[in-house]
Amino acid sequence: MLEVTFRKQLKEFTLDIDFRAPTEGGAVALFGPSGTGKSLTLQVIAGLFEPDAGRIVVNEQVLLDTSRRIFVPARLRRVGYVPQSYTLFPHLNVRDNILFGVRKRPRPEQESRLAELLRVLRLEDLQERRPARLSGGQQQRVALARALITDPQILLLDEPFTALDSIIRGRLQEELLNIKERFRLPIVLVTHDLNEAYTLSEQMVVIDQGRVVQSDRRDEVLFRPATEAVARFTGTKNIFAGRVIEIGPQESYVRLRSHRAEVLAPYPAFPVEPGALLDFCIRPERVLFTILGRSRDRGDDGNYMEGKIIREVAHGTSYTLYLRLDKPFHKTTHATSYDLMVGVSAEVYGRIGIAEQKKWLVALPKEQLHIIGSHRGSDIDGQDLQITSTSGLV
Amino acid sequence: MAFTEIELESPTRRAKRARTYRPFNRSVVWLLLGGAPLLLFLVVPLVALLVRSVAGGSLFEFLSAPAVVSALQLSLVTTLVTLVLAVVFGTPLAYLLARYDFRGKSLLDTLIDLPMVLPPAVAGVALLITLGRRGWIGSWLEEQFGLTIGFSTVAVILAQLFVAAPFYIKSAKAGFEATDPGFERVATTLGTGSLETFWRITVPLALPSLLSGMVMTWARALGEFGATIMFAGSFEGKTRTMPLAIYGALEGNGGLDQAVTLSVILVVASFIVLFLVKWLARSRLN
Repeated sequence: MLEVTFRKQLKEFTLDIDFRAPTEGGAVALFGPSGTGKSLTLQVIAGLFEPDAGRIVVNEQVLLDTSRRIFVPARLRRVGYVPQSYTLFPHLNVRDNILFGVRKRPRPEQESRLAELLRVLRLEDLQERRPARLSGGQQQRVALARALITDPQILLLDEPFTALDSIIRGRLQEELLNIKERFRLPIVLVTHDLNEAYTLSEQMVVIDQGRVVQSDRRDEVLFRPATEAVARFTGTKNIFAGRVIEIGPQESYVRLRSHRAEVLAPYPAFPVEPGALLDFCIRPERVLFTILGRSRDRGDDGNYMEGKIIREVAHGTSYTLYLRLDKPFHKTTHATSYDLMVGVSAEVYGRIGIAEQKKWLVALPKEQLHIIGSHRGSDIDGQDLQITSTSGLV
Repeated sequence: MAFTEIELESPTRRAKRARTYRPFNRSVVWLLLGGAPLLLFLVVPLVALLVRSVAGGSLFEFLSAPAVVSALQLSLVTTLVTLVLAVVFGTPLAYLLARYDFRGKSLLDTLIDLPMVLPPAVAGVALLITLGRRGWIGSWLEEQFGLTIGFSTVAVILAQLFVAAPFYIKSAKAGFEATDPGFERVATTLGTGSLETFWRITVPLALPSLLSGMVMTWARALGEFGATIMFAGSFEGKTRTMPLAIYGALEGNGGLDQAVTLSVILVVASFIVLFLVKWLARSRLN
């Protein structure tokens, strides 16, 4: 178990972090936009940065507790820290870099650990090289080996792959998953890349402006964002505001109306009253295409809507489609603005013939709708609530 | 390997490639003509020294003169002690200035640099009124312990330290500043204490700067004259270092030949020192 609670007053903002995550053989991703305190959080866990107040517990071991005046210095924390720029010691070759943390242990132990790591990370042929003569991917593998050789109780990775090109990045991500399985080591990694966070970790801690906005299993974060900000960071651009017009028996559903659209959504985790104004969302790839004119006997649960594709973006293996709905969620002010973003695989795109036909009946399955919370800000009527686009998972 | 990894170009190679020269052309002639007088002025006296020392046969003859030998010995001993003191006390100071920010830092920084630009005579006066027989600390030392610093070998070392140590501090500070503290932090997480991290990571990485600082400090100490003659006087075997001996020889004891001999030694030593510093600076790039 990893428990991290601390506060630190910085020049620009206050870092106020609080999360708990199971770590047994799993990875936790600190995810969020750049410059929001993720790297500093990692440094606090590593003991390289002292917070004003707080408590850090890793595997039942208290590393920091300001209320009890406990501060375990970095050198005694047994953390494997891999900083963003790898910082291999430039005056030592690969071998001596890796051995740095174990140079006082018995020779045979050093040699056997070194041999294992060189093999696992494919570094056998590079032992004598200086860091300046290594590629980015090689440097990253050496940095990992150097951290792992000390047998750390937790591995801390700061943006481990951002400096690498996409081919090497994919390869190294696989390697890290391997390491995760092989060493059964809790991992905390910092990343601003959603794909990376999702691929490498089970648990995601979303940090925004120095605060944890959501800490949950990765699917919860992806499909049930706790705030609008989380929804935006994770690429859910279909965020709408709607008024509760009906609550189903035994809180089985709520019916929401926003502008001219009406949808059924699961009853949220918090109590709502009729007339309440809520934010809700659906991930682009959860919207379904159905053949227009068919299944007229469709049920309410499908939230069927008619619309027209006004823009398409091809990604190779998938497409992002932008739809204008006949009964939109909000007043559109621009001729080019869309109501709904839909992600489909290239296979589906070709099979159902989206290239030829632009008028479609789409379904927003009830279970896939997620109510984020009460709508903040001004009333929705007469407002263009469309969220400006940000990059994300498609 | 299943995928290709691009070998990064080493900084050495990049630096070599970036150093491009213009081809010679007509303007070179004009530049040379314009610069020649100064060039000659700088080089000819040194050549004259060398020629005189060899041609007059004086170099080897006077090398064994007692006055020359004692000046040489004294200079070697005092400059080495100065160097050790500068490194021992200057290193923590340089690291402090490089890594920490505090109020009055720029003031302290300027104060440390000051002896480098002060006339050595000023340094001599300052040392006299603090450590001289009637100085603040000097008089107390004499009363309490019967110690006299002024006009002793210790005074020679202190005069050298005062004017030369800033060269080491400045260079070491620059070296520490250029060393990414990220290296130290990683070493810490790998279970290394701060003193050992300093020794195993910081010092090797800042070594070219540390060495060039040491060389400069030593060279400055070797050439020290003004502060020494004021604070330590010129007593053969005790405080008469090489520069003082040169002056003394011209004044009458030994004559021009001894002065030439000592001067040549200093020229050669200084040349080697400068050459070393430049070589170190280049190796830092690589």
